[in-house]
Amino acid sequence: MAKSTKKTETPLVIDARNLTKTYGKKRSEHKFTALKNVSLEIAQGESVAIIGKSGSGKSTLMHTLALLDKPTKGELYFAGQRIGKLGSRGLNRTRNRELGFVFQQFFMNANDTVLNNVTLPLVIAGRSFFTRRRRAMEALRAVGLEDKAKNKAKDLSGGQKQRVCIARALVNNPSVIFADEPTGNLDSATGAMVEKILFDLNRKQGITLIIVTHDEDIAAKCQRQVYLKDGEIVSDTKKSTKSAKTTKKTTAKKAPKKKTTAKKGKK
Amino acid sequence: MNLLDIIRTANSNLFRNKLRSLLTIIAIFVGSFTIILNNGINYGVNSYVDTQVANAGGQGYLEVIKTDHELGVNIQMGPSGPTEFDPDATPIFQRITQDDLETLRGVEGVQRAIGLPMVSARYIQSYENNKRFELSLQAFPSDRLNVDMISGRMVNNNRNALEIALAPDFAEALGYTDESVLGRQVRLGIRLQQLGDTTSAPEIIRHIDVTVVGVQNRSVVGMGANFINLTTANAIQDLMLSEIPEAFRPADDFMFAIVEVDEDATDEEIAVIQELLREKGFQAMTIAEQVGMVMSIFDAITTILNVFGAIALLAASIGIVNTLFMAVQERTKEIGLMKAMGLSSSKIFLMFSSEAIMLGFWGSVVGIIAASIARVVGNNIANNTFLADLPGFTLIEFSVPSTLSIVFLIMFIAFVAGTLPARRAARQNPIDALRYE
Repeated sequence: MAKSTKKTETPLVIDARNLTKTYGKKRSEHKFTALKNVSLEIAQGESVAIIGKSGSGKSTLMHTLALLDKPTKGELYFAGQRIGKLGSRGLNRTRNRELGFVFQQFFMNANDTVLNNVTLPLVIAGRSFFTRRRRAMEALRAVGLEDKAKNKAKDLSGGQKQRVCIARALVNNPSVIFADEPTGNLDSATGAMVEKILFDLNRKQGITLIIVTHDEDIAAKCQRQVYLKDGEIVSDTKKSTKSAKTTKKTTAKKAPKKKTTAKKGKK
Repeated sequence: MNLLDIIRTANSNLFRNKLRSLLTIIAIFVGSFTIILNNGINYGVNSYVDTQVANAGGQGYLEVIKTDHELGVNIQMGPSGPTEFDPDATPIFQRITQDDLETLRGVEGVQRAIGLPMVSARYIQSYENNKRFELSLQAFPSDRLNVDMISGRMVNNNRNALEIALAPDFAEALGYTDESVLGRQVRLGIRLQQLGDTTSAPEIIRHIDVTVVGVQNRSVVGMGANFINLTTANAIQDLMLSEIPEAFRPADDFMFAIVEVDEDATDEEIAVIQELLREKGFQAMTIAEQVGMVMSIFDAITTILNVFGAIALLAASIGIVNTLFMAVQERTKEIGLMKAMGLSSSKIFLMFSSEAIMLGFWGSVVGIIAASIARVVGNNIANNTFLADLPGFTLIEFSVPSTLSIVFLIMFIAFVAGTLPARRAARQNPIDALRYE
């Protein structure tokens, strides 16, 4: 890893330094700064919640960290690699192989089968037909939907849809999963199930989980909470204070930190 | 994403909005059908004419008229409408005199030059069943020409015997078969020309007996005429004029002459001879040139039809642009998702271009299918009606290479039309696309 500081022992998967993002023309009156000098280090295997109200810059931060948007100023390193140096080809490759996305609105091809929806990242990666099938079935098994593989995506319930999306995010064996309000469109029971799957992946497979939310409950289940306000980080608490409230997770919560270093080897 | 995936995705995307795709395909089909069918007709006619010309022979054979005018489809027309009458100018068509024939014979390269007598008969009569039939009679211009025969041979201009080669169906009408008629005598009724007002005078018919030497098959060269040899033609002409006193007989001249040159002469050598003839005031045409004159009209018609097809394709390509813009609009989020997942802009571009090419492909496939049906139906109708007398003439025929090149052309046009929406899709920003409501 290119970047190693004294503070962290585990390798950093994301290292953002002084990110600034402005929209609109330079020196224009309508210039709007969405991110102001944001620095954030995320170690492999961490579960991080980025919390803030709408307009706080949390979406912009996520898009920048997820390599979907370029910062106006500042440097971003992904797994030790400087992102500014990557061309669009390298960016696409990194997003395809290292990142998984789960969105509040699912974004699925409703008329296609569950299996085809899950295989999409592998199709983009150009994997062989058999690899696609095998990995997609593994991913569906991981979210408990292998029996729905042949169903049309539109015939699923909301919770099932989000689980399919998790399977899709998972299918490329990513190192980071970005989840944008993953339970925002779900009722509490199905939301809890989706949360459980996400945290299980983080805990058991060591996949770094970055959840963007304004929901304090789900944020509390993460190891770390980053609060954003007006484009700046106002608090970054590593230790979950509210984890004790969620009784089911307490035992699970303590395990992941030790496993993080082993993540790459497990793949 | 490999090429096969892109094509497969493009094709399945096509079937997502079936009605819209179908309508676009129909629009392309209208153009492709027109062009494919039109080219099929062009090919069918051309290949028939080519075969006929090839079969007609006519090597070293030229038909000659005497005129100062340039030969064209419509010789009477000048550059700007009909040519104004000028009493001092030579007429469009001049008779070819015996002196002219001598001039023709004097041209370097000309082996033979003869005037073609125009004769006619009132009827042909059978000695078998005594029936009489109307007929068109023509002197066979040159043994350089080949006419397909059912039986026997073509008349021989070098013989002194009176010979006739019957047009198709005549043998049967005269009470024979195509075989049994060979060597039989038939009687031609010749109407004698008379001086003065003959409208109320009774016809004077004299007979001349000729020997059947063959029965022709249907062909473009034969055109349904009964051919006689020059000996017979001259005998009939003498008979026709026999009632007219010597002093009143028309000059022994001709509308047409035929010229024979070396059978192995190349096109260039023939062109040189044609130029020499032109200098002496004659226009000479080969069989291929005569056919070419007719074909140039036909080519003009098919060109116009192809322009209509092209206009239909142009309209269809605007339809493709429209369809794909709608598809890009509909699939904005999907495009955003795929880009977020690492699909490159160039592949997105390829995906939408492939969709356009697919529309073009299906449009032309439907066009081919419809044209194939039209071919069967059209040929059937044609062969039973206006082409019934021309066996071996398939009106619509497809050539694989030209049909394939039409398909590729249409796919290319579709691709070009698709670049506009495909570029818009490729330029989508994944974040904006995912936010798009």
